[in-house]
Amino acid sequence: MFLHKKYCLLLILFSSFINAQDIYSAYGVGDMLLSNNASVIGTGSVGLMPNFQRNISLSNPSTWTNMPFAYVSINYGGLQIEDKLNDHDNILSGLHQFQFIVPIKGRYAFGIGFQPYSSQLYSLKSDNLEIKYIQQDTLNFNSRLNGGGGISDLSFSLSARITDKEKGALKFNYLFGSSRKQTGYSLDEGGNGLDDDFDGVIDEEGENSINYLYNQRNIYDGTLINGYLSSDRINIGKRNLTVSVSFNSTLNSFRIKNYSFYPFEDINNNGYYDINDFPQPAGNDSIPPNPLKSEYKDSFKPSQYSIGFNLELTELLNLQAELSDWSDLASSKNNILSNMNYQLADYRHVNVSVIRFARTLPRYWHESLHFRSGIFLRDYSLKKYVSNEDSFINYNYNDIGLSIGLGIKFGLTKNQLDFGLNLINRSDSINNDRLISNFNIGLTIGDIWFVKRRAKK
Amino acid sequence: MKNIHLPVFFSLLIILSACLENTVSTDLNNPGMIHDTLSVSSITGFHYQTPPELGNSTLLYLGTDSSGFENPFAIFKVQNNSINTSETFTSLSDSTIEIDSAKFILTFNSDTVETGMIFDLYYFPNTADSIFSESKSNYLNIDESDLASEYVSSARLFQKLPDSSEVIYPTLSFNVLHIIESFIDSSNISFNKTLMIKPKFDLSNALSFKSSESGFSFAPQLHLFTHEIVYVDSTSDSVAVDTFSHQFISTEDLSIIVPPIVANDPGLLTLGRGLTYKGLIEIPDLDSLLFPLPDQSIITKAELSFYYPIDTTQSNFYLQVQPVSDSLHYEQLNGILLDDPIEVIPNILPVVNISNNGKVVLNIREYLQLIHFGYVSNYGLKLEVVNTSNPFNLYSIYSHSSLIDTLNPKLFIHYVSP
Repeated sequence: MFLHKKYCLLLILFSSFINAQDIYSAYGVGDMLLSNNASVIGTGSVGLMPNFQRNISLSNPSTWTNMPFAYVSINYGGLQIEDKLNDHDNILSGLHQFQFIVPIKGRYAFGIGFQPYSSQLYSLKSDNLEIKYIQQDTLNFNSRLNGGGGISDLSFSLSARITDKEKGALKFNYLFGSSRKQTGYSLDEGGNGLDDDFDGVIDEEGENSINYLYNQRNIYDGTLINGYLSSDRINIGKRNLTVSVSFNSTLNSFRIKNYSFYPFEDINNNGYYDINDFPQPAGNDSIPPNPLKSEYKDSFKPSQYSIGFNLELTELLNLQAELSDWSDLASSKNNILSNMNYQLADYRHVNVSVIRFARTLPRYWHESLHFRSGIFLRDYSLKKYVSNEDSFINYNYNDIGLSIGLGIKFGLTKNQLDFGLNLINRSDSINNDRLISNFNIGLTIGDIWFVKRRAKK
Repeated sequence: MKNIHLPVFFSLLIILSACLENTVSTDLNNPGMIHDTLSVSSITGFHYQTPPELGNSTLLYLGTDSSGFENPFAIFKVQNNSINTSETFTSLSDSTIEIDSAKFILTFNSDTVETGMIFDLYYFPNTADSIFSESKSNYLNIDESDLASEYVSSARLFQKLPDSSEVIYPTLSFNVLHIIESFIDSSNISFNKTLMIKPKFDLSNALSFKSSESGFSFAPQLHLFTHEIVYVDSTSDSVAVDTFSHQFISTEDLSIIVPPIVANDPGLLTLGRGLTYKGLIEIPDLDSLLFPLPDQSIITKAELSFYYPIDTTQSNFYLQVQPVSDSLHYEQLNGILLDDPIEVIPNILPVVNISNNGKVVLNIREYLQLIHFGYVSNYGLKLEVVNTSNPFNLYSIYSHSSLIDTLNPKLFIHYVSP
């Protein structure tokens, strides 16, 4: 167990959080990571229904009382976004989830977890120029937006069996993190007939540009509360139907501290603010004023409701369905969260999945495997505040995805190695040719806690 | 579990965490920053006059310029230490040192010798320690007749024949051997060590000589040749004679310029060095334009444009533009002001070269940016001609009172804001 913990710690130290680098991660607080582990990704669900092992979901604490052992789980994922229409391809990977779950005598359970809540990593440039004619000069303006960072989630969960059939749980999430936003604004007076950067190309694109960079930093913190309830009371014929519901809301209002640094002209085009830039960061009375600090409390109010059903077709074969609605209840009229000014207002998820669980006591090797698959639909609704009209405009996009997963059970303590893959087609009103591949691998190691060991004789 | 090699597994995951990063082109309907411009035309120009300030000039002048500038005399203070030996004037009073010759040398600024001119050298044995101040003396506070000068000697311009293609500048070389005792007299340590040169007869044009600011080689200097008798040993009469050359350069020098009376055109702002006109530019609307700018705006360009009458004498001069550090009181700027009352904030704006195209464009964005920061107040800008310009030229630019609107000064500002 100690050896396993050491590896886990190393993995946490050296890994970065997963980041989805695309325009979508520039909206709001970034890409929401609502599916954190391989078994959830394998079913294409939000993790409400049992998918890790029979009657157990790592993402639903109300199922943890069914765990026979304490578990340490680490999940690692990779994401690839291929935009065939615009011919770009972004790949990123990192730690998805770390969890430590301890069941107590089948009646209670508690767990701590650490996972990314949202992430941002984007590098966007405008695909159209703004042109102005000023004093017989033609000025071309272009913009770039770069950003990175995200919000991490440190969670603590408590679970208890309410009756023989009902279980409940509470999860508290402390969200914290930071993000950086950089706005690049370039001004080009057109070609001057010279090879300014001495690379042999005269009037190369961007060669004569004057670049202005504006950096901002957000620091986030807030607390969420989640409630879970699961019931095995309903039967359809001889088949048991498990129903789970969950809700999520803010416990402490989400706080965003924004630091707005003074923009500068990047005279030496190195992307950093240094002595060669204007205004100079050092010198006689020329140091720009300190960053503007502002604090916002009502710019992000996440809320989520989910319901899920699991029908045991046979002892091992389960049919599942989940519906989830995530909303940001804040009606922010600023662009403090995102340079794109868009806020993710609503996110709806529905999936249908089939799981064939491994046998409790496998006779053959293939009976130690969990097979998972599913299809899912996600619908995202963005809203943007238009200040000159004092109104919001909406923008929607959606995902259609196919999921497949495999779990390999091994060892006496039901250790498990899980793989999950999502293949998603993302489309909006402009582009329906984006393919997102989301791969996840998880390792879960079991051990016995809170059992009185016999003293060695 | 034993079949899985965990270190290999985790190492593979960490290697896989590298990212492929492509910039995505998209419609950034919210660019995050805006660009806009401001135009200011209510700019007023004003000039005021101070006495000539030529103390830091690289040239000294004697004679009368064609524009009417008189340069009656030049005055020099010689330093106490030799620049090429360790001697001082006082140390030369040692009895073993004998002064063979002493000359005061002034180098002509042109390599062509001017003939027929005689210059007289004077010194001030009966005056206290200070005769003049390089930075403060001028034709209003120094009068030759009050100086109690005594004639020393006269000289003509003399030019050695060059050995090769080297440039040999003609020099004035005055014999000062008979007065050198005044300089080396250790009992009179407060002696002013000051000399004055003036033309014996009126000169029809202004001649220029190199000043101490032109460097050690050509600085006005006292050049002494000495020899020293040294006994080889105390028991014999054998002696050795060593010959030395000592150069005592002038550290302060000044030619006094008496400017002519010039009538000013009311539509023009006049600048000059000999007739020391300095300009003041006020942009009263600037505050009301800059303060409403969004927070954290950057001034990307600020061009203050002036027009001036195209005239060959106005070509290629250097203009120094400096923000004024306190509010202007025009009622204090009448007449010729012995002390310039306008204080400035130095080193903010660069010196600009003005070419002869009829238009001056000054980049003042640093100044406007500091106003926007709140570090500097908009008290105006002071314009001065830099000391390398010909002191006998006057430079004029059209001020706000110009009859033709297109010739009035203008300020055009570009800015970018988050």
